[in-house]
Amino acid sequence: MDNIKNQYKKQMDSYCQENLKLTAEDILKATPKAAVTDLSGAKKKMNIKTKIASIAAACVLTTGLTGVVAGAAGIGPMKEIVPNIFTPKTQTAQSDSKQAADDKVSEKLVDEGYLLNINETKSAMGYDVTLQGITGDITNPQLLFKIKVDDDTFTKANKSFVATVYTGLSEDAYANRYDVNESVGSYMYTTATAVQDSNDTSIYYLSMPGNVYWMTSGNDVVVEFRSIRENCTGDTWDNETMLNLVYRFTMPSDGSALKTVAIYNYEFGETKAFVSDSGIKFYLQEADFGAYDTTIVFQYDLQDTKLDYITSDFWGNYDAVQNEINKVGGEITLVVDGTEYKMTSVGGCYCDEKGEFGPKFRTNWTTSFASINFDAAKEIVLKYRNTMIVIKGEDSSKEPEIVIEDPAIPVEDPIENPTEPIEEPVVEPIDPEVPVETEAPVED
Amino acid sequence: MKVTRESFTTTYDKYKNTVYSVIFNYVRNSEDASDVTQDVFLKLLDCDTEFTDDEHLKAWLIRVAINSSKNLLKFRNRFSDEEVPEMPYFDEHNEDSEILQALIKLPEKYRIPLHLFYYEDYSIKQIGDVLGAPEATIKIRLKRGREKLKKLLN
Repeated sequence: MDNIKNQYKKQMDSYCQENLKLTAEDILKATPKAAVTDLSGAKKKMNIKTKIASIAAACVLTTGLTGVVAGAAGIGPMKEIVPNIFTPKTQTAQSDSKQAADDKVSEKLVDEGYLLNINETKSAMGYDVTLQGITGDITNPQLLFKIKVDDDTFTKANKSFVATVYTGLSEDAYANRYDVNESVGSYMYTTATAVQDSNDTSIYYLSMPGNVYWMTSGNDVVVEFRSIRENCTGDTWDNETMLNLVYRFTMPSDGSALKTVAIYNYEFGETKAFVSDSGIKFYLQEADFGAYDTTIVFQYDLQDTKLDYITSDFWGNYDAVQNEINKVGGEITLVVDGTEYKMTSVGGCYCDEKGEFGPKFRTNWTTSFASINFDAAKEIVLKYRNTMIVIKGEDSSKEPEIVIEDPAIPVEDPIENPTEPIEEPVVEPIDPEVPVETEAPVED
Repeated sequence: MKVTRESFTTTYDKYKNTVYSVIFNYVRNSEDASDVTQDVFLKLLDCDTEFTDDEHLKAWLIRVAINSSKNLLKFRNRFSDEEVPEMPYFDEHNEDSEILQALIKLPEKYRIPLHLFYYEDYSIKQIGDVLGAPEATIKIRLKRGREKLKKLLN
């Protein structure tokens, strides 16, 4: 066995020497500290490409090049690629821009290297629209636009304007104009407010959420910058200029454009239920701890509850359920290590499916909270009156599907289920070549 | 003992193979292994941990390497349709890597303990600690892993 051990060591050392081309200098260059001054280290994660002879691996390299290696190719630090980021959330009216703080979240993510650098400019009707890139996290991809307008009349009249954008679709969905809500994704355009640069009035910046369903790793995505609306109040506007500028790109397969965040998924009934005054049981279905916000999804089943078809009128039922959701949603708090967060929004859904699709008609509703520091949190709890659902902490038996890893807090993720039975009883000491003697425990 | 930018090169040269090899055993893909290795050492530069000694530092690196590898695999399973090669490319006729080729073919539950045992000279207790598995389980896996390895080599 010693022979095998020595040979394995020798062979592994040799393999490391041949395949690990990364040097300490490369890593030091890739630290955020170096990114400001060192162009080659502009992207925190450099993706060293020591290739193996594999077609699949070649695909990774090709897609990765779009955004990842661009920084190393001399385009420069992220701040120079995307100098200003405004308006983090979708707005429907121009007046909303007053409420929109600078998009610090996207700015931070770009600085951390989460960016698919596209930098493609298309022009129509005197507007030069550049899709600068994609940043965000896996629950919220964010489109970054820069719009140049060489029209003094327009720029003097508009400190901001509303853009309508198809925010990311597959080629098929785009080509077939799936413009009704399908079960997956939709073709409906989104509106958001572009804000004028304070130094150069001919420039406007726009940061808006992309379509999370389509904009995932490796997908080919189509984005259309549809139109510009002036003096838009939401439902009305003075003038709409159609641009219809189409951009096509591929999201990097390695996930480098979007930050990975923690997502928990639950089966119906897996958690405790928050029970409303009408006896509806709301079960936790999903908890997404995103960089922009925390999204909690509940699932409920109206069947045999007090609100099960209380009238024959669809909208009467809809309103009754909506009121119930608003009441419960307003009372739920997110408690992180003792600090309580109130919900920032709640959105319900009513599904009138009984008799058409069978007796079961489960429906979801969503409530949002501020983004929290998932890594640092020791305990995350959802609280409604006296009922608490532990998402992260000692009482939680659930693991997130994706974990932002903090090396200081090693993930409790044993190699296998620690409770699984031992495969066979240990009858006698195993081969003497495998020492049974133990040593001091390894400290984490 | 803290790893600084100044002392980083020495630390990296000392532990790069430790980190790379354990990651490679998880992801079985040299390209991903390089990327994850970089992530692990970036985390080392970014962390404030005061290490008590070299063994502590080494255990920390191995633990973070394992977590990072698992996170990558979880991410791949959930979000990526790309085809990741199940096995690394080896020159089948290269007898100089015969054992490595055989070990890497074993299921994860056998190959990781065997790797730590062979390459890092870790004891059963140490392997159990770093993998979060009971010692008895590790013993069985080492035994079975070695049997399977012998079969493959024969």
